[in-house]
Amino acid sequence: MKKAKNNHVVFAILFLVIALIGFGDATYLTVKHFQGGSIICGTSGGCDIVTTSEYAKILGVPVAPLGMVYYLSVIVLSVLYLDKRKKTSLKLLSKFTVVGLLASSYFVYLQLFVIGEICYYCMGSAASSTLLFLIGMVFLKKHGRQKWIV
Amino acid sequence: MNAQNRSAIIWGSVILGIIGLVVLLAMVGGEPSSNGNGSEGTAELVDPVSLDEHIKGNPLAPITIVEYSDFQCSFCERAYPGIKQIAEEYPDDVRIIYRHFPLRQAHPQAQIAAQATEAAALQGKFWEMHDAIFNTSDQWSNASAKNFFIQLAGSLGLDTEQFEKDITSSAVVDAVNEDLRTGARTGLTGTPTLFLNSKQMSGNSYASIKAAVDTKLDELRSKNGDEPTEPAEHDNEESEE
Repeated sequence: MKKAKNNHVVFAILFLVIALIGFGDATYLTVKHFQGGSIICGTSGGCDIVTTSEYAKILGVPVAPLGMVYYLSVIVLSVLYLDKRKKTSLKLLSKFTVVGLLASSYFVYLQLFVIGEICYYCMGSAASSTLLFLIGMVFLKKHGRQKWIV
Repeated sequence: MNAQNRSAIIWGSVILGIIGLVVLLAMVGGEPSSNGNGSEGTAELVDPVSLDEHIKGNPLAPITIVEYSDFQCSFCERAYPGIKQIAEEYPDDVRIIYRHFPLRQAHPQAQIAAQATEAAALQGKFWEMHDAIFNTSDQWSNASAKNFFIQLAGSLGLDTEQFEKDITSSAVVDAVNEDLRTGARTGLTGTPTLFLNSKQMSGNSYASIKAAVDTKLDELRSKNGDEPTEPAEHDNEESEE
């Protein structure tokens, strides 16, 4: 029992750390979005083309702040676990990571096949979302069924 | 009480951490890369200049300044009179090439402004429109820019009916996008970014451009003494096609 709890803490911290990285990334993109500066990135220079493309908004809502909201929810849920130690928040979090995965897959698809340019910061966010999803799935596989067993 | 304290510490530190992160990134990210001299770097122009671009000055001048700019960017607007002055002072030795780099999302009217100059170029008045747009930036930035540009075209003596057709035509849009792509390939980090004979310049004020031009002219003169107006000698130069 004690071991299981520690294990949960490890998951919660993993979620937290990766979500913080993703949050920082999304914040940077958001700042750039509203501040209007162009984005410094490698030699390919695809960032500006991607972040100023019509796909940088969904129904008029800029994508970057949506990313911030997503990562912030993951952060809140993982801290909620660290605080209250209720498994429900980690389970909810793990399921929620599907949202990030789907959104990221769509954005990666847009960059590779529609816009034809790659923005490293956007890819970084896609990587952290994918990582969150993988950890979420591992967590659910390990602990997700306990509810029915107990 | 103990648990409460713990909660307070956990949430407090997380909230403080996040606020700190946001502030830090806002400072780093908010540092305008599109500033007066922000484009210092060692980038080299990737795409060669061709004679069908927008050239001001002697098309075969030994010194080529390529400017990537955005009509709605305040730094570009501030740099424009200086660049214009350089063109006027060195009509034989310097040619200015204008390329579009509209940061479309940050500057919602930058794209249509760029298209307006391309549409004017079809009637041979690129630079007139370029100047007029910079000079009137406070009048179109928030308004319905397209109609304003059509009026502007009229005041420049252009055929406004044709201009209105051209300004949103795919050829004009493509011309702007092509510049945007060359800028991206070059790895631009902001606007305005200037290149002197393919080498990125460190400033865009009148004084800094003049200093760079004079240095380059001296260099060229000492190299090939009596043939001062040889077409530029740098590799990326392509005068034909």
